[in-house]
This record gives sequence, structure tokens and C-alpha cells, in this order.
Amino acid sequence: MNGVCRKTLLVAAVVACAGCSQTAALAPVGGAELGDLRYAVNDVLFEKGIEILVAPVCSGTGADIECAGETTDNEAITGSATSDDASTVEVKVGTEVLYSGSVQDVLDRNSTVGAP
Amino acid sequence: MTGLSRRQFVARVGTLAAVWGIAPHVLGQALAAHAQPVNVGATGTLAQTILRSSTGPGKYRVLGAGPGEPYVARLDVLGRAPNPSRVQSRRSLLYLGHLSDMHVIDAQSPGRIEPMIVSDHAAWGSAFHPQDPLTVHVTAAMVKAFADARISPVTGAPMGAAVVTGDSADMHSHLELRWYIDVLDGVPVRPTSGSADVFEGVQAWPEAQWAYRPGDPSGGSFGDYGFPTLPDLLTQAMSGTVESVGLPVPWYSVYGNHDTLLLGTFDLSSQLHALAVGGRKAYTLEATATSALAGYASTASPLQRMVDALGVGSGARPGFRAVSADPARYLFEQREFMQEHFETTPTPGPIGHGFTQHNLDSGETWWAADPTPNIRTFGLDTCNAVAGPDGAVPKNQFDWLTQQLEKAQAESKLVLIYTHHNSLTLENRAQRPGESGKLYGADEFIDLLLKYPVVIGWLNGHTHQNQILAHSSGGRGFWEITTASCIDFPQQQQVVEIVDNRDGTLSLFTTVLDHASPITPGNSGSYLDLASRSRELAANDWAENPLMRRGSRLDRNTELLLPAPFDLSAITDAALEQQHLDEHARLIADETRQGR
Repeated sequence: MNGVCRKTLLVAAVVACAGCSQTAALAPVGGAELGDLRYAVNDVLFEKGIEILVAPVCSGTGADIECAGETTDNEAITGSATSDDASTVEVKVGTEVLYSGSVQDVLDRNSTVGAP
Repeated sequence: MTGLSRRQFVARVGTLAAVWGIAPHVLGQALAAHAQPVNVGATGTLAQTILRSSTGPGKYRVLGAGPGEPYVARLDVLGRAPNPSRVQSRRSLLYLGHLSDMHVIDAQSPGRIEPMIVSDHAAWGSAFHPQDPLTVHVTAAMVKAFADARISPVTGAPMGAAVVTGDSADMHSHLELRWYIDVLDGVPVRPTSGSADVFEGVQAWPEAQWAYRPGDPSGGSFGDYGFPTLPDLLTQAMSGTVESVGLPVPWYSVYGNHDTLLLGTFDLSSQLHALAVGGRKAYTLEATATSALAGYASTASPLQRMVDALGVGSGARPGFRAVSADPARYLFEQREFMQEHFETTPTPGPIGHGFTQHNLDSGETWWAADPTPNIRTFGLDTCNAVAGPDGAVPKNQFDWLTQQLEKAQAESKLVLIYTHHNSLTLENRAQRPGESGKLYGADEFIDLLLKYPVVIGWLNGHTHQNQILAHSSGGRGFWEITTASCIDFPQQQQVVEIVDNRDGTLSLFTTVLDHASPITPGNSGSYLDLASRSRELAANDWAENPLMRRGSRLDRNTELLLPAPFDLSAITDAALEQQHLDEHARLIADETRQGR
């Protein structure tokens, strides 16, 4: 029984447990956490005008997500989650920190008309 | 290299005029007009993007125009700076439309499970979207965007083919499947079922306060958020006939998880089959959880199934409302998905849309097709037919593809792979008890593709995001291109062009398409205004994290460079010119049919 099933049972006063055999199949589509962080790292690099040879490749989960790439000047690009839920990130080229902060803030400003 | 001689050109025009039923001089003039240079950057997202604005009621935000996005060159696979002279020398090998995750929905179907969002909106977000009744309109508006983009903004080459990488029908309804095929074919669709005159669904029912009810959104979370009051929306959505222009090129299709399992995740129970065609629709979580998702089809006795069906049918259970039963809403089985693709118009074709009689006879759900003499495409079925949204590559397909790639490598065919799932969602190894066939995951699949340098691209969907990943090894590699969806914001698809740079490199140009609707929706009730409304509603569907799905700038309008896998001069200019003539003639015939 997964979390969704437990919540279903809490809400419904009378719910046959047979329903759980189906809802147990519910699982999130994979890759969302990595995707969010990768997008933010890429957008920071693009905003800063970094010439990219290899765009960051990300792996891991939660606070262990690490992204690694390379500039055309052969400097290392790194993006590291800085919170357990990977909602914050630090982006560096070499040792220079380009950004440290919220992933969602980067996504929001790059999808909003006239955002700074 | 030289192209067609004048004599060859005239002969080819004569042949094509006969094939397409167009007077030779008319075709000749049209071909000459199509040969004019295009204004690169003047159209679509190259010229303008659609972004969230900072204004709107409550938390609700309307959309506005953002700056265009020129192509970004990506060097990950090539590993070095490209030759600047390629811009003057490049030639198009194939200009391709890529559609995915259209999620065409019959919003009035009793087979839907919308109330599940009450239990956990984020986890069940795909069960209900505020824009559910507008999916046919969005798909038609997207088809129009492809028709409008039928000439490449990069090279002026004509579009040659299109592919749909799955999740075409949202909830396994035959009507949804039929509507998607008809919209792509250019067959008019009236997107309603059950009652012809009254919208019978949760978005019209005061009892379903948890839903976005456009007639009166107050009292629920959508109303609290600031979703607009639109009293005519549901009537407009169901009353008009959507006149899709149809795709102008042959289109191909592969399975998505929503074409395989209920909501792309659950097995189809006998109870759900009965619900879908019946006259009662659930509007509460309890009713939905205990009926549609009972999930005991494999274990319940025939007597139990009959009792359950009667219980729902007679209205003996609370949480249901009476609706007009409609047998056309029946849920299709896996093989019927392929069969329905043979119920299609001769143009744009092809009949079967990638699937052949061999597929129907054997049950194999994967195929190969050559859209041009130099390019081979493989449509795979990565869906797990047991449980779960993500996928894997079954051994029988993996082995088949290995043999096919050997052959393509030997024949110097450039290869594109089409699947629904992408490399971040290819780890679902669910199997039925007793099954032991190997299911290959992302790493094994990528390693296979990397063994064959002729593989240059892998097109897919599933995550409703624009995403482009490089896969390389030993100085070679391919590009994985994931397109967004027609259901979630940004409601974008893309065109992909394979270009020979004549310097030992190839480029894949990706250009994101917004559907051909206005940024700000009007109230005309036209399919384009309704599609525009859908995009705005989707941009505010907070449970789906809409802004993230646009991807980064490196995932949208791009030039993806890679080393050519063989000497591309073997593809002569004359052969390419003939290919483009053929493709132009097909487009001109389509324009003639459409009266454009």
C-alpha cells in the first residue's frame, strides 16, 4: 500500500481495500527532480553568457544531485543541489559561483514576461 | 555536386503533376515559388515566445508575448567548435514534425477518474486538468501550427514526414483514439459524447466543488486560486465542429503508456469497461476509488463482476450522477490501437501510420519505415503493459532493433529512433508473476544505440517537457530529443531538421512550435480561441508545475551538432533535389485541397 492509498483510506469513510491493488501501481513519472535542477543550471549558464562545450549532465537524488559539464575554455561547470529536496542549487564555473539559490526562482523568471 | 538537369526536372514535375492531379504548369509555378529563400527567424518561437505575465486575478496569471529565441548551437557530441562556413553550405536531408502526448480527452466519459485529485492533487494531477474539455481544439490548433511550419525556417526545405511519440488518447476511450486520428487526418470532429446538447461531466456539476467549474468556480480550490468564470466555455467546447486542417505530410505513430494502460498506469478492469459505456459517472473520490479503480478484474468471479456492473448501472451507489450512456466510449484493447490507425484517410497517410499488416497479424507493436531513401526510422513500444507509467525495452524488441541497426549501418542509412519514454523514464521492470523476459533499461538501451554511429537521433516524449540530452562515447554519439505535450503548459511540440553541413558534420535543428492560437483567448468559441484558453488554464494548473515544462534554452530552439557517421557526399544533390521536389509537390497538393 503506498501513500496515495493511505490518503484515500483516510478521506473515504468506507473504501474497500480492493481499490488499493490498482492505486498501488501509481508512481510518479521519473526524472522530474533531475529535470528541474538541470533546467535551472542551464538557464543560469545561458543568462551569464557562458560558452558551453558540454552541457551539464545531472545524476543523483535529493541533496546528492550533481551536474557536471565543461565550457569551451575547458573549465569545469558544476551544479550541486544544496537542499534535501533539491529545491536550491549552486552553479559554478571553475571556482566562480555564478548562482546560489532557489531552483524555482530561475524557472519562474525565465518563463515570465519582463522578469529581471 | 550537381542537382537535377533541366530535362530531369521537367520530367519529374510531369510525373508529380500526374501523381497529385495538378496541372504541370500550375505545379511548376508553385514549385518555383516554394524555391524562394525563406526569412529565417520570422516565424514561431524564433520570433516570439509565450510566457506567463505578472497580472491576473488572485494567483491566476494570464499569458503574454516574450522575446523570440534564436537557435543555440550545442557541441556536446561534436566536442569542438563547428565550422562557421557550414551556414552557407548546408543542405537538408529531412524536415520532420514531432508530436507527442496529445492526450485527447473525452471529458464527459464515465470512464474517467477525475475525483482522484481530491486524495492527492499532485500525485493524481493527470486525472483532472481544468482544460480537459479542450484537448481536441488544442490538437487541431497544433496541427495547424505544423501546417503553417511546413517549410523549414532553416533551409527552406519542405516538411517530409511527422511522428507521434505516444499518449495520443488519454483514457483508453475509443472516441479519444478516433478523434486524435481524425484531427491529424483533417477530418472534422465534434468533440462530445453522450448527450448531444448538454455537457454531462464534473465541470458542470455543483456537487463536484473540487473541480474547476467554469460556470461558477467559487467554493473550490480552483476558484480560490482565481480561475475565471466562463459560463459559455463548456457549451462552446462541445457544440462546435472542429475543422482541423490536417497534417500536410505522412505521419507515423508509436504507443504511449496512456495507449496501453488506464491513465497510463493501471490495468483495465471489467468494471471500468462497464463504467465507460454506462449511464452513471462518479463525481466523488469514494465512488471513483471503489468502482473505477477496484482492480480486481483478474480475481473477481463473473458473478461478482455482474453484480458490480448492475450496482453502478442502477445508481445504487452514492457519488454518481446519471449521464447519457454512449457505446462509442468503449475502452480499446492494446491491439485495437494499431487497428484504428488503418481507419484513416489516404492522404496524408500512410495507411497504418507505421503499423503494417504484419503488426496486426503478429501482435508486434513496433515497426521500421524509411521516410526518405537515406533515413530509416524505428518506432518502438517501450510501454509496460502490467503497471506503472514509466517503461523499458523488452528483449524481443531489443534483439530486433540490434539486427535492424546492423543492417542500417551496413546500408549507410541515417537512423532515428522513436519511443514514448525517454532515458530518464526507462526503468520500469514490472512483470506479471511467472514472466521472466528481460526488460532493458536506459543505460543498456543507450549503449546499444551508441554502438551504431548511424544512429543520430532519439525522439520521445512522456514527461511533457522540452528536454535535449547528448549521448556520446569515443567521439561519436547521438541526440535525445524530448518534446513537451499538448495537455500541460507550455502546450508545445517541435520540428526537427536533419542537415548535412558538407564538412563531415551533421546538425539536427530543433524548433519549438506553439499551437496556432492567439496568446490571449477571445470569446468567439472558435477552436483557436478555445485552444488559447486551454493554454492559459494549463499555465495556471499549479499541480503540474507548468513553468518547468518549458525546459531551458538549451532544450528548445537548438542546432545539435555531431560527426557525420559516413561520407554524406554519397547522397547526391540530384537525389536530394528529387526528394524535395516530391515533398514540395505533396505540400502543394495539400494546399490545393485545403484551398490555401
